Amino acid sequence: MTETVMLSEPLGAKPRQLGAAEYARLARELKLAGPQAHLRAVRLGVLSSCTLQFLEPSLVVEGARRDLQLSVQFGPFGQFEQLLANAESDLFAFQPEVLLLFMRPEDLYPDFAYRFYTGDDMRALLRSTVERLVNCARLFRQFSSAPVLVGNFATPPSSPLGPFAANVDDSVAYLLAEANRTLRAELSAVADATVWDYAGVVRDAGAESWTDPRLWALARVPVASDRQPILARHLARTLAGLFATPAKCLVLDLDNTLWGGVIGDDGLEGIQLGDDYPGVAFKNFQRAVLGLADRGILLAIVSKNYPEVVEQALREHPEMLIRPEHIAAMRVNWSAKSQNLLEIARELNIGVDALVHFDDNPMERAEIAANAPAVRLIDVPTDPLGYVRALSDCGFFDTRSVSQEDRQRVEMYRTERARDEVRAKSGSVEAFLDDLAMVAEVGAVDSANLGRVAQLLGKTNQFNLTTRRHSQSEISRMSTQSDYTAIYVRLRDRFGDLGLIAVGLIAYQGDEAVIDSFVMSCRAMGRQAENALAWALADAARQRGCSTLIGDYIPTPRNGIVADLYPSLGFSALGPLENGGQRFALDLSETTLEWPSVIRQSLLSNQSR
Amino acid sequence: MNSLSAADETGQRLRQVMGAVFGIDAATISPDASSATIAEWDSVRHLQLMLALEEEFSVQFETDELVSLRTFPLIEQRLRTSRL
Repeated sequence: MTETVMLSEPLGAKPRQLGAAEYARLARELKLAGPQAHLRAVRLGVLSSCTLQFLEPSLVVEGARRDLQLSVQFGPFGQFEQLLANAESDLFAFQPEVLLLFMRPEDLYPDFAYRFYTGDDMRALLRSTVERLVNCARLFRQFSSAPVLVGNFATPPSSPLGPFAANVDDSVAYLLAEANRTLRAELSAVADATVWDYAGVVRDAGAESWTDPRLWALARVPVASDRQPILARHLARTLAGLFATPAKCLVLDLDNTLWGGVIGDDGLEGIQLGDDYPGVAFKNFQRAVLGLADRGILLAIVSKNYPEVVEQALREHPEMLIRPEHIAAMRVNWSAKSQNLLEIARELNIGVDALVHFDDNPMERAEIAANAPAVRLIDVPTDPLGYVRALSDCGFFDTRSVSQEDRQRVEMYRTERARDEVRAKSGSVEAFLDDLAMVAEVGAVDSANLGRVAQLLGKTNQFNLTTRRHSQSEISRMSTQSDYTAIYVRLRDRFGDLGLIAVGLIAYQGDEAVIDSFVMSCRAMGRQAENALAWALADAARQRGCSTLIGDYIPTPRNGIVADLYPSLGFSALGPLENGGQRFALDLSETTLEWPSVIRQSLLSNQSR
Repeated sequence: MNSLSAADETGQRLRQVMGAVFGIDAATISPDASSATIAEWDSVRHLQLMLALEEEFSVQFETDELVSLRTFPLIEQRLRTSRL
């Protein structure tokens, strides 16, 4: 199986396309092989207004390329509400871990895209399709909290208006674009529902060749045979994005990666970087890299080079777009790249598996694969014009939503370095923390910050006492139910806003308040913000009339740093738990937790008190 | 390559593709096989077979052929004609 895994295809070479027979054979082998340790088993339910069964072999194989072992159940053609409204239906018996809802207006209304309706008729028709889809997602929510994917609407290749359709306000294409926006907006009100960008994959592949009229006429299959792998690849990547933990940092090589040539040999003037070929290939690659930085991916450099030469290139080369301020960590030396990558993960306080390395040299990639196998490697094509595509196809950074914190992350790391300078000058830790002039905002989790809270619970590995990965819909439920309290902490200081950095969940059991989750972002470590969250949790429990606050520590390979958190806060040990953890308790009638003196509490939003 | 071995080769390749699509041992497919004798040969797999054959043999079937080519001899005959 693994020899077929090639996520990015070399530019210029014929893409390695599997034929239909190969897909069928590989899919069957995967099925016969049973559970695979390196694949995540996922049951996918599909309800569709057309035939998608044909997709199964390519979807299973492309899923395996994205580390998923998919078992797929297709509902009977054109049935939605019948299955979704009935808890006893085959769909729910299958217990899907993801549901795909796929409705094409042309299936529901055969005249669609042939007849020229008035704009209002067409709008109403699309409107009702959107409403039906959103309603289906809601029906599913009655009986399942699994994520839902909803396909949006692709524009058919031709229009009754011919080449002048784009001059008409209510052409099919414009109305579909409008309907897709409405779908996205309305779906955001359903917990854990995500648009699957079917329109995008059809557009990228070309609407004209998307459909094979023979398949459509004979079997209601909307996708031509040779396009099915493209669709399967797109759906598999989308599904993987729902489950995989996105990488956090892109580590770049320099020579023949960020510029053409070898700077140690060719000199600052000799490297290829600019607006003409071949330099433009590297300049555009730098643009694509900065595009990732804009949405919160950290950038780092690992290069076998002389540090002063690299420093000069980053600062002075007139065509460089990536500058020192974009780089969160840098290792320029002659050591093995695997070692440098491990050090970078440590320096940035992130897991080794949160690193993606982009290096044109296959020998270096092999060395890293052997000695730091957790690092995710991009299969870099030999032609630099293919770099942008290889980066965007890798999917390692895919994430369902980009939060405000993500957008500001690069800026945050820059201010973090300014803090480091203050730290270096301060005489003591207390003096340093005091000098930061920190202000914390404590509040109840609500819909405005639910996305970030889910992200923090889902991604935090180190400062995480129980590592319970609650889904967004579970957190949403907890934040509104009376037997739970969900509290967040935001932090800022004189250098900037650190954003929402900590979350605590309490489950009430009689007069005990049990801390279900206690997580904090690593960027807030060492600032006593955990004391602020602990204070808020104890305060909430006391307001509620509880006598005891219970905290559990469940060890994982990554969360050793919080093993002693509860004792250090004054909790006493109650003994081991069945799951290998430790339980601690705080007697609320006897002990009061102190709000940390180095942090001022923002009085604006104390809803939780 | 004489015409006889070319014909044999067509039959062999056809068996391989059928075996892969239907998930059965290619060697068990008899020269008079049809959707009546192979349980796995249902309407969905029939179309999958036709499409896989289009790829394998670089041919394109007419829509009517997709419907009518439902036995091993008919398909083999059709593929042989397209090779000439």
